[in-house]
Amino acid sequence: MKLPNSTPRPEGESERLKAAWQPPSGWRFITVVNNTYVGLFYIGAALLFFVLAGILALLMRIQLAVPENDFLDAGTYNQVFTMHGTVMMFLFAVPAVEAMAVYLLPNMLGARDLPFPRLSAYAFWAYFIGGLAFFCSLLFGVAPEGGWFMYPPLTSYRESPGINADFWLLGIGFIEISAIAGAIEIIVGILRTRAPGMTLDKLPLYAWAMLVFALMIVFAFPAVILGTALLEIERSFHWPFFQADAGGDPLLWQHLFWFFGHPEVYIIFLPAAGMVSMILPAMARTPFIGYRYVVLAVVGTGFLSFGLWVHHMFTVGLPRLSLAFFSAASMAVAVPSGIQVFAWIATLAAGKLEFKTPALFVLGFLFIFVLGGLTGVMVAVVPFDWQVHDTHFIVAHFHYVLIGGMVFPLFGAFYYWIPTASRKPLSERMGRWVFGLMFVGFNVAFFPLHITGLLGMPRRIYTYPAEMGWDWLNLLSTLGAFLLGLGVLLFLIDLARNFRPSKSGGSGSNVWNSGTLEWLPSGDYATRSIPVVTSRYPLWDQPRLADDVAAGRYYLPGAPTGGRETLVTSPLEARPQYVLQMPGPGWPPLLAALFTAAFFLLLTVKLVLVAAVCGVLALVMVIRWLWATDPGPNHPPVDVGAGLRLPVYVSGPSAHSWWAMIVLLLVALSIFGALVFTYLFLWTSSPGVWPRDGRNLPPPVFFWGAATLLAASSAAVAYAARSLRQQPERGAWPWRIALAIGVPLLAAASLWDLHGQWASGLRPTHSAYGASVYMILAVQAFYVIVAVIMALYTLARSFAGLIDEHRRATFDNTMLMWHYTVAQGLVGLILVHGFPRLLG
Amino acid sequence: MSRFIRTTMLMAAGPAVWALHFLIIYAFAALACARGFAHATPWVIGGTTAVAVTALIAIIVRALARARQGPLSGEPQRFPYWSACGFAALALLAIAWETLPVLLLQPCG
Repeated sequence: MKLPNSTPRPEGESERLKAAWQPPSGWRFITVVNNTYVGLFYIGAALLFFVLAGILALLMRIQLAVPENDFLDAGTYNQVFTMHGTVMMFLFAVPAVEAMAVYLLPNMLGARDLPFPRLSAYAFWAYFIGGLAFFCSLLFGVAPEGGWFMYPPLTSYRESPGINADFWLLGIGFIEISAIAGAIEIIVGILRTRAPGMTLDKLPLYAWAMLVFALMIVFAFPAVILGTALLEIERSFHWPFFQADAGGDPLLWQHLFWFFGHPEVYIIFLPAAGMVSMILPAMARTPFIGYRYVVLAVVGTGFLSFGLWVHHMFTVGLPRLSLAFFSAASMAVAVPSGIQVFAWIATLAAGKLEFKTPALFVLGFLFIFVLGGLTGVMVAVVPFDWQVHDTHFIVAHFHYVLIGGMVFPLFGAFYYWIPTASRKPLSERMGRWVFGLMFVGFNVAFFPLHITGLLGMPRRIYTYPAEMGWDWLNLLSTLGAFLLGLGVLLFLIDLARNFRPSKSGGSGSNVWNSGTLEWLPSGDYATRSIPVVTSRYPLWDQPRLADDVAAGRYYLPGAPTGGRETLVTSPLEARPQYVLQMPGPGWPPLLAALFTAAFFLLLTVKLVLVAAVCGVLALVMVIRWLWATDPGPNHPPVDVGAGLRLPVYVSGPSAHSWWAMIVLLLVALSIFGALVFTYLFLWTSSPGVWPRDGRNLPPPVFFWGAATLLAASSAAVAYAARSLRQQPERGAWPWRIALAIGVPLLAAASLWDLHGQWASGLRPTHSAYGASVYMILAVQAFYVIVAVIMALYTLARSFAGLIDEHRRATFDNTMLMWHYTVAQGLVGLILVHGFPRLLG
Repeated sequence: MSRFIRTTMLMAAGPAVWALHFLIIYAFAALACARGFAHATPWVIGGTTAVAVTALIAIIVRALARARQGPLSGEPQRFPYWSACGFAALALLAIAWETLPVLLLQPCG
């Protein structure tokens, strides 16, 4: 194959590339946006939360080691187990796998960074600052205490009047933002910034897993976003979504939470499975056996996992047939997981395994995860679950699948990939001890819980009587827990002694002789040139690849625009399409994150005014950050090699920012879907509070008026979109005026609808019906506000001369949000005004 | 870009049919028990399943046909079509397994 560029490269090209990617120095280093550094910060933060939550677990185990212990009182124990679960699930598990992706994915795909580097920085800092503050609630005795899944009515305003529950509800807020931001990056990154030639069937299995992970976040997180909003609003304003005496239903929370909560555990597991699929071929020195079946399995697990959530609710009294659907689906999901396990076994069998530490963790993972999967199929059987629900059997099951399925692969991944980040590898000798202690400790800690559970020991109890016969088993568990903790401690010591961050790819060489791109020689600029791949294992099949990439013989060996760039490629065949100009470091994302976290936390402690100020400052910082984006075609097309001259900017449906907007709107659609579910579910369970015979509904003029205003505002924006194309001939005023007209039309629609409901006498605190209606109005109002802000921002950019017929990503994003908001508004109107009338 | 959308739609079609089927059978079963028309449940579920199975078979057939076309102009990859077929087949398996309880259980109770 003729290579895209020839050597010797021009004088200074490599220096300019290095300079463009140089991270900031001194204390300004924290404003770095390079994915490698942000990734390392992220992994470090996740590890910190893992250790903190692990210490909480040890505290719990001390308390449970002997019967009738008084190490922790009941109230403290409730806070400790709630925080253990919440921190592990929200501040460790999802962030850790996201962090690995931020660190690994671009290099594995042949890209120089993620497509929106400042967004990852923002997501990290919001998570880190917010997470630390959230954890500190424990030190002040105001940590949430309702269990990690926070069921109302226990967690509503009557039973939990303090701010503890608010900490959880608002504290989860920035985790949700981080997760969504990460998902957008990952989807756009995997689909649009791959190395040329990396067709879908050559996509690394880890990237497939992360693509599914990100799509799952898009569809699963919205349910918990809405649920937490509903519960917080019930607590603060007494809108009775979950209060049975007003037509609410505690089961609404359970459905929303578990619709998120079940996919959540696969969101945690699939990336780990992806990592195993990368580690195994290198350790077994053979290509992966069953690639296409694992792709099938990973995608299959992703969608089937959305049909399992009621298996967390088998004991609440749902109809028998309904339970059976979920029982069947819960068994069915074992099929794709099994396919993956068999593919891993086949790969192991086909190769010759090097029993180094990463391989040991993979073997440990296989053993523990499969055991957890088997108990999973057991509890999928409804009558069996009726016996073990809320006992330690369940605790054993989920720790087997989560620690086995995610923590073991993660530690294996640390030992495996650390040579890409550190001058010194971790110690192989200590690694064996870490593995041994963790493996033995884990099984000694958690296997007995199956038995204590079957002997009747409930979950979430702070102590137990001596005559139950659970004492020796609990003591054994505690011993195992400390062994596990010792293993983790040893790992931390190994890390402290050997981890020495190095920008030039650590020891520099591909120590495991792996075949995938993240092992190419790299620096702050990732690789010197962007490779072309022809197979799944480029480093095995293209023997001179590393040298040629480092010499600059592949695509984009320099920085032609003087800034940070990577290639945007087509989603199916990975054909180069344009050069993506990416921003460098800066304060706005970090400050925006700080103020975002402050906003949520200050609301929790009810300092509303200060919170509002921080919210405004966060918005200001975001706008400051955005103002530097959308550079337009500010440079002529560049020569990337192989005779290709690619534009440096593209707008319209091909642009990466359009794609990011579409993903964001899918999130919005999912939130709205959860809201529609809320309305219909409450109607199903409390028909008595729904209007009958169309009585007391706002007259139809409110529906028709609001709908017309909405449609008109969309028409105005559509007209503006067409006019913008004609800006050279007609100037900017036609489209500016059209967009400006859209603003009051959109706002008036919401106000008119609100007026109608208010005038009819309906109030959100009256009943679950009122609460649902006003929630639909409130969510719509939120989107209207966002759209209006976007429109005003767009107009400001136009006045600053920053928008024209070519440079229009800002306008397009506003347009997309606009049409979505209108469509959402119309569906909301039809539901609220039409559904009760349909019932007659 | 539109080839991407068409290909993605085909790949997503199997999971989408599964999701829609699941939504309908669960929502109907729950509503029927809540409102007292549970006698209709097996029929509605049966009908929905018949439609879903037909749709999935159609998707599998179409995907297989596109996969067999192979490296013709504009279709350099078989993998997305093979995958579309696989996802639809898995969806078919899941639908069959999930619907079986209708033959074994009373709807409510």
